[in-house]
Amino acid sequence: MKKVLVAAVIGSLSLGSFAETSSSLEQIKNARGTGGYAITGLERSGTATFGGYFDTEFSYGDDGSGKVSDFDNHHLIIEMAAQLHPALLFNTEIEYEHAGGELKIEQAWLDYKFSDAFTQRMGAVVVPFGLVNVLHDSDVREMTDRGLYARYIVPTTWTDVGFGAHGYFDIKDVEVNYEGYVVKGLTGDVSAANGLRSARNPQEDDNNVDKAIVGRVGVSPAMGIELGASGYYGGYTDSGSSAVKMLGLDGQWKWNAWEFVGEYSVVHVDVPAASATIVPEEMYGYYVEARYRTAPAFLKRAMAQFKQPTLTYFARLGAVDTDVNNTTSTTTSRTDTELTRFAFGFNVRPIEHVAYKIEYHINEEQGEKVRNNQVLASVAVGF
Amino acid sequence: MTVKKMNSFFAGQIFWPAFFFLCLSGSVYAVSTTEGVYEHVHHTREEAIDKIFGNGHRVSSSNFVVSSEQKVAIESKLGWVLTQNEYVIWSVHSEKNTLLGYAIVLHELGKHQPITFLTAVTPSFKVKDFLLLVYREHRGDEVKKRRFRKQFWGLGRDDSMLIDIDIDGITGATISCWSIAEGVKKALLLVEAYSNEIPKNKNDH
Repeated sequence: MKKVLVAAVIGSLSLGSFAETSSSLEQIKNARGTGGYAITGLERSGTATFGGYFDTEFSYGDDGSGKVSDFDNHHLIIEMAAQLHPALLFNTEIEYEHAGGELKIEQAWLDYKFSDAFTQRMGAVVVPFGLVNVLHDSDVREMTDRGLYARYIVPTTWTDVGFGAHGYFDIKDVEVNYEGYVVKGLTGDVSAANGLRSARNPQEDDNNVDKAIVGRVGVSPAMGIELGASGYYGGYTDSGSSAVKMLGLDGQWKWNAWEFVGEYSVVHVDVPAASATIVPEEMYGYYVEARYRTAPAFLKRAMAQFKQPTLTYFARLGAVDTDVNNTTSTTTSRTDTELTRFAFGFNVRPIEHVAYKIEYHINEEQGEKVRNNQVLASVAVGF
Repeated sequence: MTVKKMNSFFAGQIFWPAFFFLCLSGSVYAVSTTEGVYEHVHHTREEAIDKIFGNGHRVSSSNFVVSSEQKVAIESKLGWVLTQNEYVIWSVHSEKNTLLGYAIVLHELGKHQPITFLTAVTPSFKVKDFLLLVYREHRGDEVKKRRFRKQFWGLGRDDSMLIDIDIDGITGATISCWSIAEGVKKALLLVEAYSNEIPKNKNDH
C-alpha cells in the first residue's frame, strides 16, 4: 500500500512539473479532461523542482552475539519544492527507508519570506536543535553514521509539526542566524533504553494540549566559524504537566583544509513517580569531529572526467549517557546507558554531491571494550 | 511557572497575536510583489560595474572569440573543457582613460539552475570582486555576502580556489560556492587571454 501511495504521489508531482499549466485557482476549479473534477498535478503550478538524496550502506562487524554483514538501502528521499511566488516557497521531503520498510514525511512546509531576516514557516519542520539534525542529508554528511548523539540525544531526523520563523542578518561581517518554532513536542516515550529517540511523534495526534518551544541561534563572526546555542522546552506526558528541557551548544570551525565540528547537549526530564524506573532524570551527549579535505593529483588523474574530485579524511569521538544519575536503575551499578564510539575513515567525492565513504567504528560501553566494532561503507548521492 | 501556565501564556499572549500580525502584514507584502518563475535579480550588469568600480568611469564592450590555441591553454589551466567559445568582456576606464579593470558575465550551473554573476578583474589580472546578477536556486545565495567574496580578492589564475581547502565554503550552499569558484577562475583566464588580443567590435556606451 505504501509503495502504491509513493508511486502515485511521485507520479502525479512529476507530471505536474512538465505540464503546461495555469496557476489560476479558477481554472483549477474548472479542470476537466485529465483530472475531471478531481484536481491533479496537471492543474497545479509548473514551477516545481525535484531533488533528494539516496544512499546504500554496507555494514560488517560483530553485534556482541555474532557476525553481522548486511546491505541496506537505507534512504531514498524525494524532495520537491515549488517557488509559488518570490515570497512563497513550499518544500517537502518524503522519506522512504530500508528499501520500503518505512515511509514518512520528513518535511512539508510553506515559507513566507518577508526578508532574509524574517521568514515565517509553518508545517512539518526539521527541529532546529544543533547541527546534525538539520544537516542530516547523506550526501552532506562526511560519514555514513550519524553517531550516538544523533541517535539518543537529538534523535535525528527529528521532525515535528508547528509554526515559527527563521532568518539571518549581518552586522558588518558577523552573521547572526536563528530558527525557532512552536511544535507539538515530544511524547511520553522517553526512556533510558532509547533516550529521546522513541519520543518523536509527528505523525499522530498530540498526546497533550501543551505545545513545545524549540529553537537555535547561531553567530558566525567570520567565514568558517559558527557558534550556536539551542533550547527545547515542552510537556511530554499525556497530562502535559511534566516537561523535557534541553540545552545544546554547537560549534564549527573551518581552517583551510581542516574542519572541526562539535555539539554538546544536556536533557533534564521531569519524571512522574509512576515512570521512575523507565524515564531518566538527566541525559547528556556530545561529539567532536575533525575533517581534512584534499584534492590530490592522483585522484584527479584517476577520475579525469571530473572537474575537482576530493578526498576527505575524518574522525569522530562521541559519547552519550541516557541516565546520568542512574535513577531508572534498581541497582547502583548500571552499565548499559553509557556509550562511547570512536570512528574514523575517509570518503571520495567525484563531484560535491556524490560520496563514496568507508569508516571503522570502535564501540565501548562504560569504558569497557565490547566485541561490537563495525566497518561501514556507503555511497551517498544528492540529486 | 508550570508547563501548562507557560503554554497558556504563550498561546494567549504571543502566538496568536503574532500569527494574526504576520497574516496581515503578509497580505500587504503579497500585493507589492510580482508573480512568476523564481529568478532573484540581485544586480543589473551596470549596477554591478558601478558598485565594484565606483562612479565616474567609462565602459566599453568587446566580443571575445576564443581561438582553438587559447581554448587548449585555458582548458589545460582549468582542468576541464570550455563549453562556450564566445564571450563579452567589458573594459572599464577612468575619466582620464586609465584602465581600471575588466568585467565578464558568466553563467555557471548551480545545483539545478545557472547562477549569473559578474567577475571584475584588475589590470594585473587579479580578482577585484564578483557580484551576483541573477540567482535562480531556492537556497544558497549567501555566496553574495562580502565575507565570502573577499576570500577571492587578489587571487590570480595560478591560485588554487578549491572549496573547503583554499576557500571556506558555506554550509548549505556548497554547490553554489563551487560554481562561483570555478567561474571566477575561468573569468581570470578568459580576461587575460582577451587582453592579449586587439579587441574587435569595440562599442563605447
